[in-house]
Amino acid sequence: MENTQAKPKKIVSYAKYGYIFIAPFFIVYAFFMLYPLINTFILSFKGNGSHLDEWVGFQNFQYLLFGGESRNARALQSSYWSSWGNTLLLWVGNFIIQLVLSLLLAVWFSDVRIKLKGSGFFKVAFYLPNIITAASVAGMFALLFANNKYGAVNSLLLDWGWIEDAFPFLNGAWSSRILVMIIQSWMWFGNTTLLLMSGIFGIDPSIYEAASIDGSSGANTFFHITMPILKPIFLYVFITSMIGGLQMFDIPYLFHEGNSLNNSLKTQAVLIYTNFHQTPANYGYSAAASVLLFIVTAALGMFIYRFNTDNTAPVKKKKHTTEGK
Amino acid sequence: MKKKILAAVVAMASVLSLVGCGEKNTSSTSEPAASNGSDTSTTATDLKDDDDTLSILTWSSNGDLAKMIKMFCADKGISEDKVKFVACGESGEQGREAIAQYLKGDGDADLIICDADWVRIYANDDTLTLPMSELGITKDQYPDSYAYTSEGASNKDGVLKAPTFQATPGAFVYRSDLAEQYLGVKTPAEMTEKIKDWDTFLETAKTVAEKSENKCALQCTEGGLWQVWQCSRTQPWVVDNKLQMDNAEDFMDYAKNLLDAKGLSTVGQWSDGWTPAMQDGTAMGEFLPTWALTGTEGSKLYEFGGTDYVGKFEVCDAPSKYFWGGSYIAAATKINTKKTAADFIKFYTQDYDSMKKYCETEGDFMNNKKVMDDVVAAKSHKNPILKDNQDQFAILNNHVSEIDLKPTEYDSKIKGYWNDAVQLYLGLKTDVSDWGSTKEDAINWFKDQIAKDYPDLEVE
Repeated sequence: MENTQAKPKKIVSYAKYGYIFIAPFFIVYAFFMLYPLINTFILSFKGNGSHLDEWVGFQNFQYLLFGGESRNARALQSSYWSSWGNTLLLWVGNFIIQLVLSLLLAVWFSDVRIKLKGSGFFKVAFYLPNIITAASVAGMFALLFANNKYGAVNSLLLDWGWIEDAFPFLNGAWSSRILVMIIQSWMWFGNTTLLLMSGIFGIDPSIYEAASIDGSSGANTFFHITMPILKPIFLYVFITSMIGGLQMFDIPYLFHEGNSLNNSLKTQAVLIYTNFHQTPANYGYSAAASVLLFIVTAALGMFIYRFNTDNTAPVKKKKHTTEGK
Repeated sequence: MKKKILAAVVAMASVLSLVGCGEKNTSSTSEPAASNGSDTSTTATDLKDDDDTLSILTWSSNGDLAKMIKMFCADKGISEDKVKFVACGESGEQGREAIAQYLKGDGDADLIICDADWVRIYANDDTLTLPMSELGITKDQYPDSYAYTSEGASNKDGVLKAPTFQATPGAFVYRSDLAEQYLGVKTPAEMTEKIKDWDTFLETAKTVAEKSENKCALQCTEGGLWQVWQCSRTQPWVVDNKLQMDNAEDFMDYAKNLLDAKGLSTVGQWSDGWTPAMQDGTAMGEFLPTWALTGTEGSKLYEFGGTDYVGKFEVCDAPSKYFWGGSYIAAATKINTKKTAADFIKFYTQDYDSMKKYCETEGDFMNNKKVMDDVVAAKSHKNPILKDNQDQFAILNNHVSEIDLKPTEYDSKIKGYWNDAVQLYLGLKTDVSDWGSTKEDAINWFKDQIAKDYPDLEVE
């Protein structure tokens, strides 16, 4: 310290190199993220169709949330709320299947007593569906479950005599929703399994040893040791999956037959997309729905932040950092 | 200092690597002519090319244009890389929006191929397309074109915006072996008699169902059936900003009756089951237009023929006259190769010889009465997929002059929603959770979809 104070001219400020190095990210961020984000807010107060340049105040939000006098506004409102319903249904449905499956696999693969062989292979195998492009997955399942009797599943069921006529899996509201839930779980359970496994591996093995010495059963160990300690990871999985679920787009958008979209799979993101890609475009509705989705997502983000800052943990005040100078 | 320079270089490089994407076209800065369809028609001699590449915007599955470019270049002695095929979107439906997106960028754009379902969107928008008079092309140059296509080629004020090279009348294509087995029909003329109007069509469907023990439906898809009905409308879908139902509700009843009589299969148009249904006897016939009936690879008929069914199909008149689809050629406002563009349009929409040649080589139905009358009269055209190499032009040419077209800029979206609504009513689809909507529910659903997508339209 004394040396540097003696020769102040020799101080080289490396900070500016740091700024130069991080500048590209911020420039790109400003162009491609910040500006579109701000513009979305602006657009949400502007008109639709042939009135794209007019300011309409909160009208877009009003129509989406509460409807209005005209049939146009009422129809928009009902499609908005039904797409919320679809979003939540698809997310909850896929999350339950996904979580049960992942938890089971994570516990089995990390259990020291079972010692499953080839866990490395299985980890890769479970993760693989996540690597396939959503477009291919949707296309593959659409082929398997095609509406007519030429689809693989339909022709099997017909051959076995389980059904009389071909069942329109893709066109049916519930059948298509359940299929999307299954596809989503299939694509994401590997990811969740890995997260939960790393959480379980982080638990001190001596706790498990103590439990087994005390004669705790498998189920007992799971419910009274694994689950409570796993809670933060669990919460993380829950919230990230929820945010991902709110923005679910690819599979619901792609999973249909012919040219028209499946209305019972219309999620928030699909609604935003279709309003945006409309001629003439409904930028106002699209942007307003995006803003509302942003608010919901941000609220959930705050929620996870609150949970992450653990209130129950003992508070350590690092006094020396404030008193040092 | 060295470090400073190095840091700056690295920083610049990483920024530039992201900015570097995107096609730059230095030559496309020329005048974005802003004419609003005044009659200052340009004479052909004034036209010049400011750029040496003619860029034609279309969608990637448009097989016609690739062939057209090839023939045009060969005939005019132009190198093929001077006429560029720019794919915007994959299907015609995607092209509608993708082309508008492309036009907002700075890529070279001279001509635009528009599908009949949405040509009005482009023709009505003067910021997207130029009047044809700017290229020295006027309505009086089309004495031999079919009347209905001139409606599609104009904007709402009647200004010529997008002439077309093809006419797309449709016919009923059916399996001749099944027709003989179930109906005792031996020739297309006899089959025409069996489906001469919609009541007879329904009766014939009942007979086929009965004879085949409900295994064979006369008509394959609901979408195809609607395509024919759509052309019997007395007014456009939208008049004075109001949605018009016209004959749409009658169609619902008819489709329901046909389905209940087992005269309509549940296979969807454009679904993977379409072709197998036409091959394994699930359905006997389908309504298809010119472009789907060519004997060349890529057409629907070619697909139906496959390997085992070549020579088992025949074509006869539909119960009512109709057309389906068609490509129109518009000029982008930022066109900078006017001369070549005008040549291209004239080559395919006016010139007798080149249109006849294209018709003979590619089997497309050209928008030129003289060409088509001559080709039909010469009896030279043979379709390899049809029974006894039947000439489909002879059938298609019968009623093409009577077709009328009432285009609006909403047609493509409305068609999609309408078919969904009909399928809701027929129980082939569900929207919310219950199967089998009532007719009223389905119509309400349809109106709601239109109302929410088009805030400017009045929907009662």
